[in-house]
Amino acid sequence: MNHSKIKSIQQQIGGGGTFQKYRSIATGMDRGIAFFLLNEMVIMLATSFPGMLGNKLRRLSYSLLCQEIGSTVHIGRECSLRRPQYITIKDGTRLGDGVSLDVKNDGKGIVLGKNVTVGHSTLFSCPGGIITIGEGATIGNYCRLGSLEGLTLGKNVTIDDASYIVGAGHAFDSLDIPIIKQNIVCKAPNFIGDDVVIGKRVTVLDGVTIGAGAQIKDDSLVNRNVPAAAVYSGVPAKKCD
Amino acid sequence: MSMSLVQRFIRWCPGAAGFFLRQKYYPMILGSCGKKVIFGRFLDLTTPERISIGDHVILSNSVHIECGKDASNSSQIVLEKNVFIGTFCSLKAKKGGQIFIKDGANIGSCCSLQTETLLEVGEDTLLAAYCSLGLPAAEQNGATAEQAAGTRVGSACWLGVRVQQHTGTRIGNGSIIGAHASVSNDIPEMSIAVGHPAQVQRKR
Repeated sequence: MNHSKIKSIQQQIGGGGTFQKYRSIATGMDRGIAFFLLNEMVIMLATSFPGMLGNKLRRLSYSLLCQEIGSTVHIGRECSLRRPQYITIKDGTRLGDGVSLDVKNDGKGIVLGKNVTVGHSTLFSCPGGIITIGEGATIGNYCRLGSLEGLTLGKNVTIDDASYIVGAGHAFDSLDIPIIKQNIVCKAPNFIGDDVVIGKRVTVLDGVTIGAGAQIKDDSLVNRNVPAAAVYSGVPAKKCD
Repeated sequence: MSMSLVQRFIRWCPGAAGFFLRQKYYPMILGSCGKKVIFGRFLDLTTPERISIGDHVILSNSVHIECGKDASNSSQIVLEKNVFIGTFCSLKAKKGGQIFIKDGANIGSCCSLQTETLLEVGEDTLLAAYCSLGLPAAEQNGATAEQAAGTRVGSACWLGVRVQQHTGTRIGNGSIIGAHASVSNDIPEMSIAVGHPAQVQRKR
């Protein structure tokens, strides 16, 4: 069990002047002011630009900021890439509108493989470890993918709408301190094997490994490892007959 | 919703400039607004004069806060200091309903809080993503009095992912509700409850 020093979001954002806080979220303190200003300019000019031109503009601008952006990447409107220097997006990947790739303070990075499709309004949150999405993955709308220890998706994984891969949980051993003020804990990294199909509104808790080819039905809660090629369903998810 | 060009611009404006503009603009239209509030983009605040926001509140992008325009003027939404509202959340207080989110509470992304009576989330309570509070009650008999008393979540609670709480129920202080649970009866203090319907498993 990894107890991180990260606590509630109010405590993460608190402290330091307003400008410092904003800069630390947008590009982090490990890049200079010039990088921050370039990022601001890209945000102001390219984020909402409509049409094909907007898409080209975003792809070009972010290739200056990100670790790597493939030449055939589509980035939708209103996408938000925080700490872009840790973000890699390979060829053929498409991000829907409003997708948020958020590498936080101690996050190591977000890597989207080739030909990944990400639905609109989906959030990738990386407070620690790396999020690696394998080739050909299809991720639905309004999903949340988190990682404190690391999240790895294999090839051709399908995750349907509003599903949530929870990166961490909360310690609650202390009865005197409100849970929100206790540490954020994570059992282990999440691994999702090749060709896994995850339904809508599924929640996958931290530390879970889902074997290749497994299927998780809609509305399930996965709190234990799922063997390869198994079909699981329910709260908590159990093997289907 | 009809908005002037200036209002549309401020709502849309990205980057640091957008945050700055919204920090200056929204306090002018809200019922009351504290210091250093962070307003995200694409906010929809309906009847803002009935909405009160405390110091250091954070409203993430695309949050929707709606107060009814009822004749009795009792609809209101109060966010106390240090509250965090995640992206895509929706807070609706219609027909005289009131929503109170107390100090330091943290509402995760995509949550939906709605009421026509009273809905209260206690201090330092944590709601994970996709929760729904104030859902219509399952049974109709004898439920009216409880429903009128309102839906309450105590202080220092933790509601897991996708928890549903029906109208008229209370969750005691310090309780933990497991992910995907559905609360249709009162939950005592310092308990851990899971399931559909939520049942207390043990005390903390």
